[in-house]
Amino acid sequence: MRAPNEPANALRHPLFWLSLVVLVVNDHLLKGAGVLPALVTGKLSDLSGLIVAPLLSAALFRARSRRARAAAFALVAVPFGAINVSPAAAALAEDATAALGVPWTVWCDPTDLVALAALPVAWWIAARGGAAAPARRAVVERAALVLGALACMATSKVDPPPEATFFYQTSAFAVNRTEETLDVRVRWFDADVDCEAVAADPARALSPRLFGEGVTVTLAPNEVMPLARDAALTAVGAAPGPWADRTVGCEAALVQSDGLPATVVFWRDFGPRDVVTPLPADGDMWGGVALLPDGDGLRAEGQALTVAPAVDLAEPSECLDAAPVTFEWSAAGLPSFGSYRLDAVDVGPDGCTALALADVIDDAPYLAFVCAPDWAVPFTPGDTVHVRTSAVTLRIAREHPDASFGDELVLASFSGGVSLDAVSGTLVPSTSCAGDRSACDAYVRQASLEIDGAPGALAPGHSREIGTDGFGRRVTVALGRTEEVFVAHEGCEAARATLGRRGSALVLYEEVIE
Amino acid sequence: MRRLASLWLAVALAACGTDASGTAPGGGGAGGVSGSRGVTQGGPQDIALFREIVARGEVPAPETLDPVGFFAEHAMDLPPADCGEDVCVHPMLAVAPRFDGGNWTMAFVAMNSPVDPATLERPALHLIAALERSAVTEESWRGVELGLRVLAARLHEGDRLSLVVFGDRAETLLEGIVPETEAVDDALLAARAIAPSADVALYEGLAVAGRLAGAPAGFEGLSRILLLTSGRASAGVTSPERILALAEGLARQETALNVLGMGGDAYDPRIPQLVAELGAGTYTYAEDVADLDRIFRYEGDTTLFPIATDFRLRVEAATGYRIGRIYGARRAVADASAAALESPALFLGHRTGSEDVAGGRRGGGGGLFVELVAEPDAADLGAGQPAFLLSAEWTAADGTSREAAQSMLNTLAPGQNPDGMWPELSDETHANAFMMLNMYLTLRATVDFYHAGDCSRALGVIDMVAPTVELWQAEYDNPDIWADLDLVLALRANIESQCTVSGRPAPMSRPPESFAGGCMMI
Repeated sequence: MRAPNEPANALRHPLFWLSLVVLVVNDHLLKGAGVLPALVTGKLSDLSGLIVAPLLSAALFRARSRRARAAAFALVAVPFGAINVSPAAAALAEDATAALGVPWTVWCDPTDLVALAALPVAWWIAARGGAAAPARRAVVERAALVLGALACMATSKVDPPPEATFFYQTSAFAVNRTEETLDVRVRWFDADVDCEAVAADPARALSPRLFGEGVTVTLAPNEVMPLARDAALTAVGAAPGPWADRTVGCEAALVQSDGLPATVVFWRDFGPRDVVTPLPADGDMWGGVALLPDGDGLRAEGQALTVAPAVDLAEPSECLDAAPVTFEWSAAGLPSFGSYRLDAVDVGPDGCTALALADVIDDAPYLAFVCAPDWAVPFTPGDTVHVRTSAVTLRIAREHPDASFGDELVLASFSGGVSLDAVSGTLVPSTSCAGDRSACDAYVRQASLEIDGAPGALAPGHSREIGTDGFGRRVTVALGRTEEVFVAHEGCEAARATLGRRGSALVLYEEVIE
Repeated sequence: MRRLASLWLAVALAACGTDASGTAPGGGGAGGVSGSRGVTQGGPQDIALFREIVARGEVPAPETLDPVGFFAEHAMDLPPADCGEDVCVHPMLAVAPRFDGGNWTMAFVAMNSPVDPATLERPALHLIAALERSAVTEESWRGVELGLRVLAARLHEGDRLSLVVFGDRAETLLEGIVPETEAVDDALLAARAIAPSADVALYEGLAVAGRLAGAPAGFEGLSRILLLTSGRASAGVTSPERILALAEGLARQETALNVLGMGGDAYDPRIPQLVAELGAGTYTYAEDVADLDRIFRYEGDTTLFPIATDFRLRVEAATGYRIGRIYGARRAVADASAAALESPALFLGHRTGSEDVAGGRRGGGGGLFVELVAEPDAADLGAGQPAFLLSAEWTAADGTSREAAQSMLNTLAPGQNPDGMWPELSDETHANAFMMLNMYLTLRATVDFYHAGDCSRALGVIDMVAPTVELWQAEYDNPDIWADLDLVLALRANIESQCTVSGRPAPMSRPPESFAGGCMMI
């Protein structure tokens, strides 16, 4: 027989057993099952644990007196309180449990102190004791002791936060790998991009000004923020943006936080996957950006994505200085074909040439503007010229006195390739220059023209004689602004509002005077 | 009324009788010398849209806060324009701690002129109205017709008027005529007969107007183009570079170019803004017919005097520094060693009419701010060394080449903060420009944080800066800065309101760790 005030008697109390069952079921079945909210399972664990653990403590230390019982209870309650009000104590507890081979993740959450309300119940059970137990009941007590200890040791963590069981479906994410809580701002770019080209140097290609509105989240240590825009907006309870159904093959976000320079994160869209938050230290970082302490500030490191500080002013490439303007013309009002007397040829203040024309039949006046180098406009007042226009070409030919073919200028805008009479060729992006940002923050790289049958490529702003045509005229080709647009957006002019290769060229046919 | 930019003059504006005392005709270049007038490079002259959104209780998008427009709402305290030239260039320097304890070294360059346009004899004017007649402007065409009639009636004896109407092609309807009611009416009837087009040949309209600027034969006076545009360029030459090059070429020929935007939601401000930033004229947006009437009246009352062409300004970082961010001039270019700004022409403006102020501010300010970042170990260079070198060159109105160069010393070593929290200023009596920049940076950072979803730091920026402004104002009591502070506090109230979800407390204010401004407090 055991004395009535034996502490182990409390282990036979139905409330102890109920708490023990709740602890085991809650920690091993309910948590993460989605049956109950994480907030409820977290608090259930605390409440039941603070009945089971103090009673076990009192039993283990055979605390018969009130003073001894209080000490046994304090062994549980004081550390519990400490780790919930002090991050340092929580970290100490994690270290200690790890050293003992049963690593816990301990969360510092003062709201968990509400579970201390269970202590008076445990005290009442312990103080009430019980009748002297027959020998067979000692088996029950020992079983309770072992099961209770195991339940407490095996619990996944002392104080799981509500987020503990949360998963995000996202193709990329940021995770706070500091010991501080961080406010992280994420913005997404508003532009069309050529993923392949931008991937080479996203920070250079994507101006910070292209990143529009965003969201801010507060991340506790190890907490995760999805970077895929829909996942992030869903996570903060915001409505999806107009981009919700975009499928571009790659994504970019601008990540900012106190102490972290604005950082461009770029990734190929390899599809969403489940990312748990908080993410354990050894969690899968594929597609993740770790925000890490770096001196007084932060740094970002990515896995399977590109992470680089945003570049406000990109250094111009060598090609930018030589970037020519587009060959263009304005001949609105002119019939698509006509013959005219050239009354005046004036070079304007911008270098474009104004041609004052009079219809040879009815003398109707017209004005055309040709924006091309002076040398390519060989016409003089008094000439009779034949003018043919279309949406993409302007052709001006001087009528020769003996009706043979005289000087002729052809201006053309094109995309992809060129096919103009004697000249055909293909546009190829420059390999010697990096891309450049335009004034509207499009990202472009110059392209050259590979002329069929001619060696080498013709670069923008350059001209080349390529022989004579079938009428014995010397043929010269010049390339105006010609480029491939890798980042385009609607804030730009038409030529840079969409992706693609496009440019302008002129072909000059000149009579060869023997 | 939603006005993207209220009526302004690109370079300088002397309202009627505001500073006409003690004038004497003669002097160099453009004429008489009296007092000093701020000379700013072009661009929007206010942030009316930003203020209007704040007044509605909302939080404006960052792009609605135009730095050039914000600075132009402030009166600039500058030293007297006594350099002996028509254009005087003033460099200044401020060194202050950042809010995070780092170093903030900021150069500021502004210009003013001793020339008082009110004292200059008004030369004859050849006004060329280049009016877009398209599907966008058609709705307000009656207002345009009325406006042109008003404008023609306000021209002086000896003035000439040309009219170019452009849609998908340009037509000259009046060519350098003496403005008479009957001729204008006939031309407007002819314009109405032109079907409004879907496409717009903006380049052609401007080019045809430009060709008229030299005519008519025998006319001696100033030429000015008034370009009415929806901002769209969809026919003929359409690239902004070409259109800008044409406007720049016209400015070099001393043809002023005033841009009048209209078109409601279809208005595209990109090209008009680029043209305006050349500094060769005014930039106005008309919301409605009443606006049109007023703007055309102003147009008739305004004279622009060219005082310089091919103006070039360069701020070069001295040894121990590199160039950081630049503010106040979108056309400025910079690399690590220098920032440069070019303007094809500088004009002085004069208007007979009411004063032009914006949002309770006095207006007329602007300049180029250049952040100087101390290189590592540059502190070893010691105090009293140059921080930057300023050079400017231009062609004066008399055709001679002029230049100016100055070196600005830093009384502190590169990267060194002043003792205490009071900034080290190269000119304490003309220091408000730096607080003006701080106010801009405060507004900008606030709306940036807000639109990134960070309500706490949006509020925190304001709460961090506002007390320093009040301390500054205790010393300087600048009315423009008070107006700025009112705007900032109104924005704060809006953010607090917008960020507070019903039934939940307002977000906690948290100052950001990094802020682009300086901590300037006594």
